[in-house]
Amino acid sequence: MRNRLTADQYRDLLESALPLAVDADTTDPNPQTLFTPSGHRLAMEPEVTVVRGARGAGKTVWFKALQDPSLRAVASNAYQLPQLTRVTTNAVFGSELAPERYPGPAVMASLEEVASPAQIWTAVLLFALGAQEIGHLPSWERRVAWVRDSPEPAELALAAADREAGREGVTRLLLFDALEHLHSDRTKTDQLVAAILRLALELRTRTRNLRAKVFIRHDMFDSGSLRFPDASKLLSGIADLTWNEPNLYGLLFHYLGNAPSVHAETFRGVRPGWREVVVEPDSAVRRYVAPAAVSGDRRTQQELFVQLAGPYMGTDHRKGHTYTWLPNHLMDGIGQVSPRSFLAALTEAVRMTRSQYAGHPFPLHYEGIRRGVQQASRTRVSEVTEDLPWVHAAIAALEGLQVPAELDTITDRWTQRSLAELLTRQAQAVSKDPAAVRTGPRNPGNYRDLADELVDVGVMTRRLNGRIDLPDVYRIAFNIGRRGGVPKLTTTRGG
Amino acid sequence: MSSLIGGRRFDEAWYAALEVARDVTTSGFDVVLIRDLLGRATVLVVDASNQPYPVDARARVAQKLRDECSPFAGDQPVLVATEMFAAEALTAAPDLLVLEERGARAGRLAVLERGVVGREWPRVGSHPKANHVTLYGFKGGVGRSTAAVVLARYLAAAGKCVLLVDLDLESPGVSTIALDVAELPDHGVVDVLVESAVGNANGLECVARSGRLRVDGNGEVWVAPAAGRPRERYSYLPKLNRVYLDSPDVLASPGVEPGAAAARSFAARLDAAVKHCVDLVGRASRQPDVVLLDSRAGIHDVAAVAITQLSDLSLLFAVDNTATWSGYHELFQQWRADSRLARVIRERLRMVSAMVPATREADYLARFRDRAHTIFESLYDDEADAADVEAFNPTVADLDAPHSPLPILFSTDLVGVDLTGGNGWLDQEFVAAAFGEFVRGAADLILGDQGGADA
Repeated sequence: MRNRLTADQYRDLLESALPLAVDADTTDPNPQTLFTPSGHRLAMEPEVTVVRGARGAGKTVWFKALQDPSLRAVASNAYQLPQLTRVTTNAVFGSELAPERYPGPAVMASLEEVASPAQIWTAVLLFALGAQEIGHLPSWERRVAWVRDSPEPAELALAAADREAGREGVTRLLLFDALEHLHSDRTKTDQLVAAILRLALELRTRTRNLRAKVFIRHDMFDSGSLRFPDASKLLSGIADLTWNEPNLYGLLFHYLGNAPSVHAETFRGVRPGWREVVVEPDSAVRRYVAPAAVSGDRRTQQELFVQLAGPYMGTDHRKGHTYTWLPNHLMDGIGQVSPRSFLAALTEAVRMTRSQYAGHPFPLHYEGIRRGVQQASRTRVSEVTEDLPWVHAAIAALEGLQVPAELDTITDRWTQRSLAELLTRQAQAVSKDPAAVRTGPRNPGNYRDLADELVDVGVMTRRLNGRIDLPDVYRIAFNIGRRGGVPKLTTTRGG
Repeated sequence: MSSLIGGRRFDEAWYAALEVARDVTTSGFDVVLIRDLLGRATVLVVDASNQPYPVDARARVAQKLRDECSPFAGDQPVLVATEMFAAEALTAAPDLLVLEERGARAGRLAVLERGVVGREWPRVGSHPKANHVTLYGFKGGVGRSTAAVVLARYLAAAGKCVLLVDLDLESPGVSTIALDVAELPDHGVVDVLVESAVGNANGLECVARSGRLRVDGNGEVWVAPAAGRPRERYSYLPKLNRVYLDSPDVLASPGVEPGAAAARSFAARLDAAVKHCVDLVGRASRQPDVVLLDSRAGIHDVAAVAITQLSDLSLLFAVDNTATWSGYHELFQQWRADSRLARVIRERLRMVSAMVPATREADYLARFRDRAHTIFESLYDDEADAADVEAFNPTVADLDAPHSPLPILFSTDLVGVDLTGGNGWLDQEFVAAAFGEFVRGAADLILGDQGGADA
C-alpha cells in the first residue's frame, strides 16, 4: 500500500517544515536541516579557493558549516569527500564582529594607515594559524606593523605553519566570508579583496597544507580581481554556488522529510529509499537523506510536486507547469533563484490556500503560489538589503514607474529624489556603527554607473533596445508596474 | 502646389480622416469611417430620423475631408445613415472595428476597412476549435513545413490521429514532404475552396493517409494537400486565382441571394474546407485528435483566418532578424487597436524560434526572448500597480509566456536531405536533436495531460 497524506496533512507538514527554513538567516545550519545540493560539491573541495555566490546562495551557510565538525561530517558524507574529515578550519574574516579573531571594519579602516592590504591579511592569517611571533602582540595595529617590518620572519612563520599542518596530517582551511562588511568604500573594498585573492593564490602555489577558501559575490570577485593581474590563475580553483530547479525542490523535500511533524515519516514513505543518518553517536538527532531521485531528478521531483500543487498553474495545460513556474518566476536578472525566496513563496502559498482555497484537492492552490511570488519578492528584497542597503534606496526611489523604462527615466527619477545625497548620508550613518558597515556602490554620484552596478548584481536587466527592466522578484516589492499595450478593463476613451 | 509636391500620402490622409471623424463624434453622433479599396476615406454619420445630421455640418465635414485627405477622400466624402439604403450593412458589419466606445457626450468611433488583404486579422473568433493548431511564419523559408511534419509524426507516435492541412497554397510544402505522389488524393484544399464558393464541395475527396509517417501503435497521420494528384485536365492556377475572392461586389452579383455573402466569404469557406477535411478523416478512419494547419507566410488572409478563427493555438515561427520582428509588430498592431481582441488572442499564441544556432543556443534564445517580448508587450496588460496579480504581463524571462520560444536547432545535416524521399530522415538522430524540444513543448501545449506515451 502506498503512503498518502491528505491535502490538509500536507499543509500541516509544509507549515511545520517551512518556517524554520525561512528564518534561516538568524539560525545557524544544523545537522538536520543542512542540505547538500549536488552542485555545491565542488565548493566543498579543500583545493577550491574561490567560492562565488549571490546574496542568499548559501555562502555563509557553508562558511559556518565548515567550521563545525559535525556539519563537516555531513558534507563529507553527502559529497563523498573524505578529505573534509582531515581539515581544520579558521575564520579569517566573517560577518560576526570578532576582534579576538580578525579586525572589524573600524579597525580595518585604521589599519590602512599602518600597512598595505597584503600585509594586513598576512597578519590576520598568521594570527589565525596561531603563529607565535604574532600571537602575543596585543593589538591588530601591532601585529600588522610586525608583518610590515619583518617580511622575512613573516614568511618563515607561514612556512612553519605549513610544516606543522603536514606533521599533523591535516589541511588547514582559512575561510573568508562577508566581504561586503570590510569597508563602506567600494574602491577600498576592492583593494582588500584583491589582496585576499593574491594571498589565496600564494598559499596554493607556495604551501602544501594551507588553503584559503574565499566566499564572495560574483561582482566583488570581478572587480577585486581586476586589481590583481594574476587573478586568472585562480580560475582553475573556482566554484559557483547556484540553485537550479532540482536543487530547490531537493531542498524543499529535504525539509519535508526532516520536519518536526508526524507526517514527515509518511512523506518519506511516498518515495521509499530515504536513509537515516546518525549525526552524532550519543545524540537523538536524526538526519534523513532523500534518495538521489528525490533530491536531484526532475521527473521524480515533478511527480512529487504535482501531488502538492497539481500539474498546472491554472485550470488547463496552457497556463504552465507548477514545477517550473515558481523557480522561473523567482529568477533575478542573472538567472539565479535564492532558496529562501523559494521557500518563502511556498510558505505564503500554504497560508493563502488554507485561508481561501481550503477545499482545494491539492495541498497548494495555484493562486496561492502566484501570491507566493509577492511574498518571495519581499523576502528577497530584505535579503539583498542586508548586504547591499544602497540597492533598497535606489529601487525604492522608482516606485510608481513602469518597466521596461528608458535609462533616462530612471536617472531622472534618481535626480528628482536626490539619490546621491541619500546614499552619502546612508554611508555616513553606517560608518558610525561597525556592525552596519556595508560596501556602497562604486560611484554613487554617477547614475549610469549605478545602473550598471544594479545590472551586475542582477537587480536590474538591460534589454537589447537599451531599456532597463526589473525581474519580478525585485519589481513587486517596490510596487513598480509593467508596461503593456492593453489598458486595464475600465471604460476609458483611448486615442 | 499639390501638383508639385503631391497630395496627402496614404497614411497621413488616414490619420487626418480619423481626426475629422473623431471631431464629428463630439457632436454626439456615432461615426463609421470607411476606407475603400483605393484607400479613400468616407465618413458615415449614424444619425436618426428624429435627429438627422444637419446639412450644413455635412457640407463642412465634406470640405474638411477633401482639404485634409485628398486625393484619399472618397467621391462622396460624407454619408448619412438616414439617407442610405440598408445602412446597417455598414454600421453593423461583422468586421467593424470599434476604436472608441460611445461616451457620455461623444458618439462611437468605428472604422471599416474595405481592403483586399489584412482585414481578417481583427476578427478574432471567440470559440476557436480545440486542438486546431496553426503553424505560421511571417517570413517563409524557416523550416515551418518540416516542423509541421515532424510534429505530426510525434503526435501520431503518442497514439493520436493527426490531420495535416496544407494551407500554403502558393508554395505547398507539407503535401510533398508527407505524401508520396502515388498517395495524393484526387483533389486538394484549393478544390474545396473553389467548389464551396458555388456550393458544390459535397463528395470531394481531398485527404490521404500518409504512408511515410506511419508509426507503431494507434497513431495515424492524414494529409490534406493543397492540390490533388497531377493529371491531364486538372488545373491549379486558375483555381488559386479565385480562391481568395470574397469581395462583396462579386458576391453581391446577380443570382447570389442576399445573406449568402457571409456564408461564402473567404473566412467561412476556409473554415468549411478544414471541416470538410476533418469529416473525411472521421469517415475514413476516426475523428482527428489534432488538426495542424500549415499556413502560408506573410500578412495574407489565409494566415489571418487560420490564426484568428480556425485554431486555438498558433505557433509563430521566427528567426531573430529585423524584418521578421517588424512584420510581427505590424501584425500585432491589428489586434492591439482593440484591447478585447488582444486579451483573447494573446493566450492562443506561442513563438517558435526556428534555425537556432546550436553552438550558442542559450545566448541566441535569450536575445530572441528579449526581442519577442518587446513585440508582445503591445498585447500584454498595462500594469500600473505591481500588486495587481490579475494582470497578464509576463516578464521577459517567463518561459511559459507566449513570447517565450519553443526552439528548433539549426542542423546543417538537414540541408542536404531530400525530405520527399521517404521517411528515413525522420529517424535520424540529428532530427530528434533539432526538433526534440519543439515537439515536446508543442505537444504539451496541444495535449497537456492527454499527451499519453512519451515518444
